[in-house]
Amino acid sequence: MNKTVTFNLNGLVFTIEEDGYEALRIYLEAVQHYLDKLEEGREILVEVEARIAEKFKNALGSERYVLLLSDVEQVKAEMGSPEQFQELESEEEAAEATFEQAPQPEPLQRNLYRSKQNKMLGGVASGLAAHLQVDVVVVRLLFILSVFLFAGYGLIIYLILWVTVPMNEQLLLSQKAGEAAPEKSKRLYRNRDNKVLAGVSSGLAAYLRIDPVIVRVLFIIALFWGGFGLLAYVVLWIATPEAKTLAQKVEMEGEKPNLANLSKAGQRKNDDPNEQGLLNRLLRFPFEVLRVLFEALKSVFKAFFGVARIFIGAFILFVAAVFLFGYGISMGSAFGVYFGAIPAKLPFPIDALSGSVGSDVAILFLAAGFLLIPILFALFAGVRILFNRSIFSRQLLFIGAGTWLVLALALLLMGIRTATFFQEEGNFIHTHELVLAEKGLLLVDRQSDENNMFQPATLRILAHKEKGVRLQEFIESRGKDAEEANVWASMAQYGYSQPTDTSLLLNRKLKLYPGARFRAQEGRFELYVQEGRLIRLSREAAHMLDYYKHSHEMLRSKQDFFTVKVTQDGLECVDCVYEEEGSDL
Amino acid sequence: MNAENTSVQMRKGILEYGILLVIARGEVYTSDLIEELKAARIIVVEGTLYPLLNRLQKVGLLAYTWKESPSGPPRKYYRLTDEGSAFLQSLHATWQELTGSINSILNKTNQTNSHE
Repeated sequence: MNKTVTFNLNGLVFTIEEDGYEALRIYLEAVQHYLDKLEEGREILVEVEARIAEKFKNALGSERYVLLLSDVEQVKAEMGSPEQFQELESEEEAAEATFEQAPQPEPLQRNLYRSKQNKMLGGVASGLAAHLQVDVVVVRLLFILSVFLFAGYGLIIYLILWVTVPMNEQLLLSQKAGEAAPEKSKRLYRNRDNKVLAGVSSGLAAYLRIDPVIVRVLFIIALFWGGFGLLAYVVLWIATPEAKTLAQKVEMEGEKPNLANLSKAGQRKNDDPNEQGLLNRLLRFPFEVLRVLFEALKSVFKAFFGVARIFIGAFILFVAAVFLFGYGISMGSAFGVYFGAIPAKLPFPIDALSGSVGSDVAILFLAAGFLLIPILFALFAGVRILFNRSIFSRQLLFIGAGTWLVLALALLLMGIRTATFFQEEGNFIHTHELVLAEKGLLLVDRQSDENNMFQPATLRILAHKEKGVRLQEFIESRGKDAEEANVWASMAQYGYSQPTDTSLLLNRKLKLYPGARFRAQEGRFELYVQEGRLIRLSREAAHMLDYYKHSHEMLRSKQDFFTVKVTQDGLECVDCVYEEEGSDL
Repeated sequence: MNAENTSVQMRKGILEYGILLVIARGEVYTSDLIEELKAARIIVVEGTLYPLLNRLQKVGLLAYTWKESPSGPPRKYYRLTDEGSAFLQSLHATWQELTGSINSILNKTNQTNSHE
């Protein structure tokens, strides 16, 4: 009587005796290991599996139901050893290379490529590792450390290399490692068969050929050393791949992944756990507890997340959709107005604004992209969390993130450039000697004018000895240098009108001359009136007064027009009536 | 330099020709192709063929389609592309030339042998 295993090969279900299954599994894994070196290895593997399934079906015929080890051996003999799957191709490629009259043995070695086969993100680290003939993990560690320690330089260097270094489809790390160290190719993996958290410690232990407990204790000691242990653990977690296949497990132990070692590893897995001494088990105990706790925590979190993800996903998706909608509308109108497709009465002169922030079309496009990418990312995250489905490929995501960084940088540069336009201060005074009746009450009122982006003007009324009335518009502006700032100041004015010879209407909003640029201009009216003269201020004009104390006091009086006397010390309200409800002290 | 190595090299060159010849007859199921090549003793183990087919397809000499099968999962059928046909034509020419050359040499060898 023999135990049997049921398995599915290319959609066909077979029952096989256990030893046969083990042999088949190891064979297929070894084949996969070799096919993985080819670009479309996965696809070929599917075909190979289909062929094997077909062979099994024929072998069984209609009389037998259970496959035996001998069937597997038969198939192995017919299909050939795993090495033979690769042999022909690699030799032919070598032959092609010699035909093309270039006798250079290894063109790959000299140039830096990105590796498609071993990539995690862009294959930069593994390409670099192959070039320098070191373990990828070392390179990845350096990248991650530099991201943490040197404020993201590692990321920038990575992105630059990603963009500039060409991808090589064939470049394979294990080949290079094999050449560098022909005896054995040891790789750092995470060991998932013997893990507490992520298998970092036991993988490291296998790499260093020491007991995992030692590594774990060291990590825990390092944890109290300013959290360094945790950082190191997380970094290694990210940088190290998990040993998933038998071949990788064999490599983790520092053996060559040939069929003999693979079968050995396959056996070992079955009888390992019980062969531990008492001391070892005692030492392992706290870590066992930790592992069980961690697993429990993980399942609790999973259950919680199962419910929470629906809400979180839906919420993110909703927010993203709202933002996308708003984005569509605002960008549509921004582009529409900019290119004149949509007639709009804007609160600012668009011609004045344009040019003040560098190349304006460029900035419009940059901002559009800069805003869109995070929205799309949120959309992606929402769908990912809610439906567990990726709507963008990994590459696309990284391209998106890279583009976003570039856009952010471009916008930052433009911002800096724009800031230089506003660097220095300057001013200009427009002086108007007003032709007014020398006697009589001068009425000062606010003219109702268009609203725009500028700060409303303030009003300062001052006494002078002369009889005439002088109005000054004091304009301040910004510019690249003081001289330019003065010019921009001179090209903006508030404006006023004199409907009668005893009234003066002031505009509150600044207007730019044609051709003038927005440079954060602002300013005030200064009205010089003969000392002791009475003038009438409308309530709105009183609101414009820039010496706060006077106007504040005056405005407590409720009339529409104030009669004020202009003195050296300021304004004196002649007809203000203050209610004595709130005393000043 | 051993004889086995040389004959392996000879086989390899001819293997592509053989594959293309079989496929040139019309669409063929991968397993049928393998059976025929095995029967003709041009390949020994099947594993070598898969990467080779994949490469021929990648360089554009072959194309394939998946077809439903009455028993089991879909099957991959290979056919020759136009490029593949042209390639095969030039292989034909080379083959004729080679067999011609080798035969003429062999004939001469046989003649001299019989004269002695």
